[in-house]
Formats: sequence, C-alpha cells, structure tokens
Amino acid sequence: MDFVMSENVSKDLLLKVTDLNIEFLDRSKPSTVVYDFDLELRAGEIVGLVGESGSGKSMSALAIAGLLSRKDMNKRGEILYNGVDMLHCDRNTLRKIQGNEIGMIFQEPLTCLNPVQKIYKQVEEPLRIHQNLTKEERYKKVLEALKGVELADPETVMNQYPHELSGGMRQRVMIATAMINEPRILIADEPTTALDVTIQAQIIKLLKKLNKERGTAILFISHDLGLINNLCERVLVMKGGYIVESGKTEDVFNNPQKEYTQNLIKAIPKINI
Amino acid sequence: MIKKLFKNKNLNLIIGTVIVAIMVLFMLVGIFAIPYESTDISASLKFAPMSLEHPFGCDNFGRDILSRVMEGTIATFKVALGTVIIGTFFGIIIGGVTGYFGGIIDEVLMRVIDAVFAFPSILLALLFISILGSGTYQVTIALGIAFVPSFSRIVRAEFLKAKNMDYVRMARLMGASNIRIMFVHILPNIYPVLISSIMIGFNNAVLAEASMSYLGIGVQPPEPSLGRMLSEAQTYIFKVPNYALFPGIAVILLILGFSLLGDALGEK
Repeated sequence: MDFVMSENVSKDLLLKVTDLNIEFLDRSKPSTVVYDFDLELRAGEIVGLVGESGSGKSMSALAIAGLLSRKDMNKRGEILYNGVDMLHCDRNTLRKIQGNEIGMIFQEPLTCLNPVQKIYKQVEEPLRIHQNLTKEERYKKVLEALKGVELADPETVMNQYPHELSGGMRQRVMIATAMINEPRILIADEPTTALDVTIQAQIIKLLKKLNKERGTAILFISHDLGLINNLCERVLVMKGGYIVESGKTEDVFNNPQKEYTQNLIKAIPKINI
Repeated sequence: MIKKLFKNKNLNLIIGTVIVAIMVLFMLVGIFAIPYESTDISASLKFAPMSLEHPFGCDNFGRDILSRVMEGTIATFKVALGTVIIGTFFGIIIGGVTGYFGGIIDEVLMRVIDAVFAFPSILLALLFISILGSGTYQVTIALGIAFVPSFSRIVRAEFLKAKNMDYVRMARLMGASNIRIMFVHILPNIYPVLISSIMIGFNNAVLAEASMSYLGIGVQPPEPSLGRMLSEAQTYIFKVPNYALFPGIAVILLILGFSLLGDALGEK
C-alpha cells in the first residue's frame, strides 16, 4: 500500500461536525453538556481537544464515535462522515462505520480489554465483524497489527490475557485493535493519562508514526497542554461545554485570545534551574 | 486449569469430585448392570434383611432396594438436570435481554418474573402439573419454569453490571451487534457466577423433585424415584430403617457432591 499522501489528499475533509448540542434528559432537570460544537477533521492531521474535566470534551468524542445512548438524550446538530450523518443514522449504518472507518482508544486500557478473552481474539474482533477473511488471513493481519504497534513478542502476547500485560502493552494492544481495519479517523481519549511518563512518550511516538505512515487523522483529547503542543497541528479549547478558542496550535499557544486559554497556558509547569 | 485447581489442594473440590464420581459410577452401574429388575415383586422377599444377594435389603413388595435406589437416582438426576437446563436457558435469555437492553422490556418482563417469583416454586410447579398432568417430563418442565425467575434475576444483575464496562463499550465501538456483545463478550465474563448458581439450582432441583415425588406427583409408581421411596418408607421407618436410609443417603450425596463442586468452581 502506498502510504505517501499527496498534497491533494491530505486536504480531504473527512469529518465535519456542525452545531453539535448534547443534552441529558435523564437527570432531574435537563442539562446540556455540549453547546454548538464545531469541528473539521482532514486526512492526515492531528487535532487536539483540551479542557478541564467536565468541559464536555469526552462527550463530544463519544458522540463522534457514535457511542452515546439513544435514549434519555437530546442531540442536535450534524456529524457528517462520508455524507452520512452519524448522529441520526440507523444502527446498521453506524455499525459499518464503527471499528472500520473510525477507531477509538480510551484512557484506561485494562478495563477496555475483555478480561476473559485472549489478546488474539480481541484484536481479531473488528476483522471478524467487518471483513470476510479466512482464518490464516486474519492471523496474518493480527500479527502484522501487533508488530505495527511495536510489541516486542507478538506471538506470545497473542496468547496472553490482558491481566498478564503491562499498562503500556495494553495500550498498544488497544491501538492495534483500533487500527487493524486501517480506519481513517482515530479518536484518542486521554490515551496516556494512566501511563507513566516514559511509556507516555513511546505511545505518543507510536501515534505520530501511525499518523505519518497511514495518514490516519487523529483527534487527540487531553488535559495535558504540553503534550498537545508537541503533537497537534490544530487545537480546540473547551470550557463548560463551549469551544472557547480554536486555531493552529502555535497561534493559540503563542497568542492566546481568551483569558481562560491564557490561564491554562500559565498553568503549564515550567522548570527553571 | 483443572490441574491447577487440584494443585491448590482445594478440599471442597476434591471431596466434591469424589462424591460426584461415586454417584455417577453408581448411576452408570444402574444403567448398564442393574442387579435386579427394579419393579419385580416377590412375596417371599418382603422386608428381606440386608444380605449378599440384596445388599440394601428389600422393600414392602420384596423389590431389591439397591436396584431401586440406582434407578431412582437416575430418575431424580434426569429431572434435576432437565430442570436446570430449562431454567438456565430461559434465565440467560430473559436475564440477558432485560439486563442489557433495560427500558420498557426490562420493566414488563421483570414484573412478570416478580409475579412468578412470588409463588413458592413447589406451589408453582403444582400449578403447572395440574395443567400438564403428572409424570416425569411434566415435572421437569414444571420445575424448569419455576426455576426460570431466580436464574434470570442472577443473569440480569450480572448483565447490568457488565453492560457499562469499558470493554463492552469497546466492543460496541468495533461495530459488534447487540447479540454478539451479549453472548460473545458478556456471557463468558459471568461464567463463575453462572456455574455456582447452576450448581445451587441443581441441588434445589434434586430436593424439589424428591418433594414432588414424595407428594406423589412426580415419577409415577411403580417406577422408582428417591422422593417416592422416602415417602413409602416412612410407614416402616422403625421396622425396616434401611428402606428409608439408603434413598436418603443417595439424595444427600447427590446434593453434597454438586454443592461442594459448585463452591469450588465458583471460588476460582
């Protein structure tokens, strides 16, 4: 496969979110958690989404991944992928996109892996659901995917259970699972928060590599501004359900317009020796 | 895995396995090499004492008690097994659907289950038998239906717990269908709970079958069943204690063996 993305393709608009509003109806009084969320995601770019906890960043991500419940919730706006409105389409259409075109990794890699299934079966799952492959082809793909996330000994890992792996390895397995069908969009919801700093750096490197080699667009959610600064081309800052500021990472970091963003940037610890 | 279990010197497991093995052997002998026809009546052997020919003695019709205990154990085991299979099957389906989907299906089905649960299971089985008529299969079906509520509650609770786990969300994200999530992703995770409840359910089913037959609505005479033998032996309990003793021991061993086994497997 040709991984080199031409200038033309990299400008391809993959995902367009307009006026996304999410409102919970199952509380004592309806509460809106996301207001007028707008996002454009192009092939091959990494977009950061920053904000404090409760700012609605994870909710927006879940909405884009199509994971919000269909009941007890009022959703307005549009999430356009390939001409399909993922917010309002029926389940079967959504299922075809999920795991195939859009992958997602979460913060806590242990709870995201099924404790009673071996790693092989879990990585294989999206292949089983979305593609008609023989057993041997699937095995080859899984092996390739596990090698692709730089696991040292993929044959052994395959036959292990999640509790036998370290945190970093689990996150790699998660990435392999999310990436096995070569989705065009990867949503990373604080993928490094539960990991220590060295592993964090490795995972970030890996995500960068995947982004470069395959042109996968990544929506990177974090509250770690330092990380966003070194990884993302564009950044959105959220607070209280609103996007307060968005733009090129350098512009936002060098010349923040809103007071909230300025305070956030001030809060990055600086080491002066 | 089994080797590992034994290595841990789990006493419950060892004793349970031994007892269950003995009972299974006992039933196999009953199927393939039963010493006497269990319904053969002989006037001369009435209340014959324990001897080499009749190790457990003979009953009030001169029938060999050993042979009858063997066949009775098989009959009881069959009914209990059938009951558990029916109960587990429908329990998993109802519990899974209600727990996983929630909402209005959950409300309706669980209220029906509550209503069924409100009756004691024996009473409920009696009700079904009055509709279906008495006999081995009818008892199995009746007890099976009576056991559905408890299984579905257990399964529902486990599904409720599991459906909000991250790995289920992950499976949904991969595009797995609801059925696939329920049976491929969640069901294997509730297996320890399910095994213990199946074992406990089996014990209850043995007891329930025995009490149904004791009341005269289970296995029909002259076919032997442990409960029926106990009820017949009641009249002669002081004159011929071995008549009541051996079926009683068979019931106890059957229950003890499976509950120890269930405990041990559930612990793991």
